[in-house]
Order: sequence, then C-alpha cells, then structure tokens
Amino acid sequence: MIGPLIPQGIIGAEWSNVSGLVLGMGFGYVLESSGFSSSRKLAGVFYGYDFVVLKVFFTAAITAMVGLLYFSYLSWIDFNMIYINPAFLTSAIIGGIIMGLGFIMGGFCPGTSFCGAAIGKIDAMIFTLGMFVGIILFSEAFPLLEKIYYGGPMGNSLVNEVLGISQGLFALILIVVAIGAFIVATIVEKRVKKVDY
Amino acid sequence: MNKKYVFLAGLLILLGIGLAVLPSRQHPKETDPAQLINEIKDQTRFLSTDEIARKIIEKDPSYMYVDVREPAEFNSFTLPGAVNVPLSQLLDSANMILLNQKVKSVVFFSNGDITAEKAWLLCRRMGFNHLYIMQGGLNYWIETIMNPPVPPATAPSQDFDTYEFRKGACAYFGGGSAATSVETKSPQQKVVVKPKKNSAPAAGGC
Repeated sequence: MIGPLIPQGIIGAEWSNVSGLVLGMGFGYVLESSGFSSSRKLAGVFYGYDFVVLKVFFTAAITAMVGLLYFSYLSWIDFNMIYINPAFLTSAIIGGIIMGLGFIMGGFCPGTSFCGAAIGKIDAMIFTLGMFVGIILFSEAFPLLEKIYYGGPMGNSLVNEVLGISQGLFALILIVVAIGAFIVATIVEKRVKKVDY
Repeated sequence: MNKKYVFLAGLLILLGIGLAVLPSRQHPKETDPAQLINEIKDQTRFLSTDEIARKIIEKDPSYMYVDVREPAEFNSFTLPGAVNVPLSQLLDSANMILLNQKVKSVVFFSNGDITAEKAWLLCRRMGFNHLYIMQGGLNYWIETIMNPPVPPATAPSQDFDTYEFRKGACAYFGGGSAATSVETKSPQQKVVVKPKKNSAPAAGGC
C-alpha cells in the first residue's frame, strides 16, 4: 500500500506492486549514481575519510520521518496502519555487531552488494553469495539460536514512546542531532588523509 | 560551509520546529464503520438464553457475564457470577480494562436487549473483541428458563428436550415451583370387575 496516493484513491490499488518496483529501481539508481557500489567508499565510514553512507542514510531516515509525520497530520495516511517492526533489544545489538564486522571486512552491506553485483564487481557477487550462505546456516541453526533471536523483547514500540516525549519533539531533536552529525563528519573528513579510490 | 547544505539544514530545522509545535492529531484506533455495520447485520453476537444457562451450569470458565443495569437492579436479581458495569460508568478506565478482555468472552445483558446493545456497540467500536449479547435479556431469561413454557403435544421432540433442560436449569437456578412434568402419571385407577348380569332374557329369534 503505497501512500498517500493509493489510500486516497488517486491511483488504483493494482499499482501497489508496480509502484514498489518503480521505487526500487529509483533507489538502486540513486545508490549507484552516488557511488555506493565502490567498497572503498562504503568502508570509509569506519576509517573516517568518507562519510557518505552516514549522510545519505541519515538524510533518508529524516526525510521519511518528516514526511510521515506531516502526512499523518494532514490525514493523508493513517499512522496506526503503519507496520512497526517488533523490537528485540538483545538480538538487535548482537546482529548489529555481526553486521558491522561484515561491513568493515567486506566493504558492502546487503543492499549495496546487489548494486555492486549488478555492475559486475566480483567481490560484490562473492559478498552476495556469502550472504546467502549465512542465511542458510542461520536457518539450519535456528533451533539453537531461537532464544537469542527473541531476546530482550520490547514489542512494537516507538522510540518517542520509550523515551516518553511527543512525536514532534522527538523529530526536532533527531533533526538537530542529524545536522550536528553531518557537521562533525565534514570536519573529520577534512582532517583524515584521503584514500585513492 | 557549502551554501546548499546551509540552506537544506535550515529547511530541515524549520520543518522539525513545525512538527514539534503542531498539535498532534489523535487518530484513536476505531473499528472501521463498514465492518461494524456488517457485524450488526449478521447478528452473530447473540447468544440464546438456553446456551447461557448451559454455560453457567457447566461452569464454563471462558465466559464473563456483565450486567449493564444500575446497581439497584443488579442487587435485586441477576445471573449467578455476573459482574455489574452500569452503562453510565461504562467508560471508566477500570471497566475499560475489564471489558477489553483477551482471555474471556464478555456477554452483556440487561432487562431487555437495548441497554446491552448500547454497551456492545460502544465497546465494539473501540475495537474490543469477543463481545456477545444475551438475546432477550433477563426478561426472556425469566420467560424461558425460570418459567419454561410447556410445548404443545404436536411439537417436535427437540422442543421437549429443550423443555426438560429448561426445567432442570430452573431448578438449578433456584426457581421455586418447578412446572409439572408433561407425562402426568394418571392416578392409579382401581380396576373393579363387576360381573355383568344378564339383564335381558334371551329373546327369540337370531
């Protein structure tokens, strides 16, 4: 359900999958044209010479948040219909550590590895293959990992509910934090030695 | 500092301030009106008095009986094990927690149908599940369970089974005089044999 066009009836519901496809193609285009298929550029976040990953994805999150909250205020979408992923604190932390390690070592994350594989980079293709091997291993070992997987359940909670402040105030705080992070990133980039890629 | 970035940062902060200051639109979770109308039409919410009597006798733990009348009427007569949630106090937070049951099914009843229907509609609109109404209310309860009508002799045997069940339920619920059984035992009629005297002498002819 791609809002606000479909819930408001401006285009028919049959366009859900088509618009999803178009948005996906647009996302891939933006990633590739920003240079996200270069593993050195992606790993730059951890070494400090290129913060493009932080900037792009934090901006995307902020834009999505502002857009959703304004659309909800204008009643173009129903905020209660949005699916909120159930939060499991322990498994999120463990998964984040594993993913960070993989990111630094491989220089790709799952989405950008498809970007790189699409333009023919061999390391991206191996990364994708490794991702699938990891998925198969995880599925086979799931009975052992089930407890950790469901560890630290917090339900379908929103951050502002957990912190106890209103949505709008949390949005403002996050925007200020984001702009602060971008400024700090620019300062760090200027000081760290550039890597040729 | 790139001018582009300064402009964008300023725009984002403006939007953020707007969000923080705007009054939050409360979208309370409400059952979709079309779905509500369908549920009203299909009438699956009604439980008959026989079913409820059976459930009370069998002590079915998954049902909770809620009397929506005022406390005065509740104290004078009600179903055994019923909880009193007067309609005027339906929206109290304690009652809301009680009625938003995930474990038990809630059966509303009142004197007739109407007050129970109001309670059902309000709770259903708020999205509560497993809500039922006793059809006919306590008036019908007294008509059927407490004073079960005797089925006519031409009724199907099912009606007689229902009647027997209702009599049993009436006795269970403390209904005073149980109605008499259908098969009335006729008083023992003493058979007296009277020897018949031959009154008329045999007349002639055949």
